Amino acid sequence: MKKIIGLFLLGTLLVSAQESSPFDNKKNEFRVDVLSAIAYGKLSFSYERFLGKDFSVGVNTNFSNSQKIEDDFNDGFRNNLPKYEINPYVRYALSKSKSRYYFAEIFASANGGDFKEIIRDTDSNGNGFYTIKKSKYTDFGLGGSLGYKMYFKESWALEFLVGFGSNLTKREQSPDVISRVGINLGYRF
Amino acid sequence: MKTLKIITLLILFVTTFNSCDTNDDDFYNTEYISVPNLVSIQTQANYNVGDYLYVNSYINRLLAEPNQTNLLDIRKTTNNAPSFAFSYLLEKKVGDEWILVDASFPNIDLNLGKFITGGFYNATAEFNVANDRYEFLCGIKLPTSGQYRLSFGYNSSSTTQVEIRSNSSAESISLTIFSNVSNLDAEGYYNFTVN
Repeated sequence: MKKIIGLFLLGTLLVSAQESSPFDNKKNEFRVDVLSAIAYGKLSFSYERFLGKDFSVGVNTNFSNSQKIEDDFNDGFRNNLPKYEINPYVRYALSKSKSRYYFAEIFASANGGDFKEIIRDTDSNGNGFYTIKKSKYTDFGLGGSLGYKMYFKESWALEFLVGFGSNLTKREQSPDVISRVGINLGYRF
Repeated sequence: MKTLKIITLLILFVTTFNSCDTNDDDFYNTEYISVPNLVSIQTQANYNVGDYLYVNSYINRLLAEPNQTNLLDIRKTTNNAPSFAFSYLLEKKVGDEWILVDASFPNIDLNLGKFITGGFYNATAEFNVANDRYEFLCGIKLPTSGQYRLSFGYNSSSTTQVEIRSNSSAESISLTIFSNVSNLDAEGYYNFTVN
């Protein structure tokens, strides 16, 4: 009996020792996406809350302000101009290490922007004419991502993320594909 | 390190194709309509060396568009595009080959609009305020006797129709008009012989 109790206590101590890590008291993280800012002129911020051993939840928001995409929209090379995305997500760590690990996530997306189409209208003389009508769109989507995260000095995070999703309700107006691609720099506290 | 390389390559790959979308595989400032007989070949019963073969295009500002109850104002649609353009070819049979007829000055008789020759002919019908229509009229001299053919299929997705495009400014609607042309055979050629 003493042996069993001894083993139990030893096991408990080992588990405690394994779970004790510099990240245990740091449950929050903010990140900014460097790649999106440089490549797409998109401001992208993320918050992540670490729940337990492997799971975390968070939200990513981004706002687009790309002159190239706007020019393409105005010149007729695309019919939508995405302006914002709000992407809540749930992550699962695939590796045991807390300082460097792969993760998988599923995300939802509420996104919107401008949409344009050509319509036939009638002028005051009763003649028809085609004109470009601009309006707003809002859509919702789901997707998944894979990523790799590493920490430096137990607080600074570098995260690589690649993911895709699909808009679900207004695909004729919104982009078909939602992408979550980024190189994020973050701080965990 | 290997992991980082794989992830970096993956990100580069995805970034490259990130902006691809089924919503960007078209030109969203372009409207397509069909109106017949906007371009005509001014045919003759007989052709002799030195004659000119004329092609004209008169496109009224207000067009009767099929399946619509009112006329279409193409000036308003295109935000006052200064002209419409289309392509065509006049070829002469030399041996087994069809060779483009030289349509440089002084072998043309340009009366209305603009005409540019290269690997094909580019015709531009310019807006005439007085007549309230776009106008083009140009003749090409038939230099020698033999078999000739004229076609409008160059730069076009249709052989039996001419594709007339408005020269609209970048952010305005570009109007493409598919127009049937009389005297073309099933393959899109007007064939004739010069004596």
